[in-house]
Parts: sequence; C-alpha cells; structure tokens
Amino acid sequence: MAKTNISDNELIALFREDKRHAEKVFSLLMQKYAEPLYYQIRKITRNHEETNDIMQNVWIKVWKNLEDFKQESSLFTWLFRIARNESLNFLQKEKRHRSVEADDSLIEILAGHHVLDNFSEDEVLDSLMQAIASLPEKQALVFNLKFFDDLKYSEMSQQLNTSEGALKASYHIAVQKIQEILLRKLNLQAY
Amino acid sequence: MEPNKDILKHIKAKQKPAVDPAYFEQFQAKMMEEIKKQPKAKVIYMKPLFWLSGAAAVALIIFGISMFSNGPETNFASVSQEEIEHYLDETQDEKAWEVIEDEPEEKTELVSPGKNENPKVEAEDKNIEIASTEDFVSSAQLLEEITTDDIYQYIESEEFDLEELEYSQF
Repeated sequence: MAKTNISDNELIALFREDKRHAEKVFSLLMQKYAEPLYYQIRKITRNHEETNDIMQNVWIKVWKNLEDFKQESSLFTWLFRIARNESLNFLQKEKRHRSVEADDSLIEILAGHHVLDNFSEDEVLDSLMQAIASLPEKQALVFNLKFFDDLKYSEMSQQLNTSEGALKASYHIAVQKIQEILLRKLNLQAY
Repeated sequence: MEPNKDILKHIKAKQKPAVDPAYFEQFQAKMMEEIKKQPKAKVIYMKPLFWLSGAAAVALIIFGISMFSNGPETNFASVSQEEIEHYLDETQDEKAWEVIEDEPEEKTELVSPGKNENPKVEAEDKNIEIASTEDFVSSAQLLEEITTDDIYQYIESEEFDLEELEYSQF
C-alpha cells in the first residue's frame, strides 16, 4: 500500500476543515501509521490476536479524538500514547483471564553477562518490557524505535518532530534507566 | 568480569515478527467500515454515577425553584402574637423564645435614629434589604429558565473533556 506524501499537519488540517473528506484523510493516516503502530502494540502483547483487538480500539479512539488533538506533540507520538495506554490497560484487564500465550520472542541473549545466564529469553523480555513501561512515553518510544526497530535518528527526527540531538539524549537516558531497572529486577528474582 | 550496568549490550533485538502483508489492507478496510458506525464528534462520556449525580442535582434545583416560586406564601403579618406564643408553648422550644425575646431589641437598635448616628446608613440598610429580596426573586426566575440542554451546552462550551479526565493515565 503506497503511503501518502502529505504531511501530518496537512492531513490533520484537512480532517478538521473538510468533513466530507474526513474518511479519506483517515484512510491516508491509516496507510501511513497502521503498520508502525501495530508493531509498537505487538511488542507489548507479543501476539497477533491481542494486537489486532487493541488496534481496533486505538483507531476508533483516533477517529473520535483527532479533531481535538492539540498538536503539542507529533502525530506519531500521540498515536503511540494512545496505543501504549490501550495496550497496558488491555493487559491489566486481561491479566487474570489471559489465555493467549505470548508467541513472539523479540530478543536473544548474548553470552557474557553473568546475571543473564540465570534467565530464559522470555523472563528477560518480561523484565525488559516492564522497565520500558515505566519510562515516560517519549523515552519509551525513542527506545523502542532505536533498540527494536533500529531506526536511524534522522528518520526518527522526522517522525517525532524532534532534533537528532534531543533524540540521542533521550535514548541515552532511557538506556541508563532501563539497565538500572532491569538489573534490579533480575537480581531480585535471582535470590 | 563485565560490569553489571552494561546489561543491554548482551540483549539483542530480533527481527520483527512476520505479518501477512494483506493484513494491513484488510484491517484498514474493516476499520473504514467500523468508523462509519462511530460518531466523529467528540463524545462526552460520563460514568453512570456521574450521570446520576447530575440528574439528582438538576432534580434538586427544579424542586427548589418550585418550592420558592409556586409554594403558598406565608404572610407573617397575619399571624398574631398570641398564635405565635401558643405555637411556642406547644413546641416547648425554649431556644425559640430566646430568639423572639432578643429580636425586638436588635431591631430597635437598627432602626432607631437616636442610636444610629448616621441616618443615611440606616436608609442604606433598608435598601440593602429590598435589593437582596429582588435579587433572590430574579435568580429564582433565572434558574427556572435554565433547561437541561442549557447545562449540556455549557459543559460543551467550557470544553470540559470528561473522557480525557476519565482517561487520565494518558
């Protein structure tokens, strides 16, 4: 599916101004952001079915609230905020009844760190995702885009309307925090 | 030994999980159908308790207005002193007697030109009494004219985003 070249700001303005074309504009937004948003949600749920359910809730919320989007952050940051909150709320609600097993293995463990030797990939991933969830939303997004998606800072800068320097700083802080939380969690679990 | 703090250097992200390429097209088509059933306008969402509280408040206002505007007026001038005393005897309310006994003295102080050195102030006091009664009547009328729709319009005009409040963890 070809993605539109129309900027986010233009799409938002079109969505607000011309009610007759709101659906068309929304369709262009989905072409542009459905896939990246899907992968952000899937990192949290680690399975397709739940990701699909959350995606539906997210896009309905986007449809209902786009008109009131204050544009204090980039559109993708706003979408990520909705997706992250919907995903975490979904998991919180489904915690007791969750029958779907996580089917994605998102990481592999490289040899050489004694703490990691005691844990499986799934256990490390659980702790890693909890550490990411505790970060402020922008740091979490930057970390996800860099660590998991290996996105270049220049691409990220365009997507998030943030300077490359600020993104690098954000990633650096995110890494420090995650390492600290991860070590604390794993050390606690080990004993 | 490798320093503990560099733990992320030993965790490598794998490739994204594979998704059927047709999925996103199908998902988009499905969502375009779904949004046709959804209102695009901002939805003011209130929890049931919120609605009940709102309804109770409106009912109280309406009830209060009808009490003041339509209820039988009590003309205290038509009640004789004997009737009042009889009522107080019946109710055995000693506190009420104290109030009745004290009241004329206070009243005398307020209206007596001899005790009030400034007659202008006395006149102003009277005016204040009259003005506040008028204000009360007009406020009651004003409240009577406010409909439930007016309240909802006010909520909208103030741009209270109740859904956002409810969704505060955003």
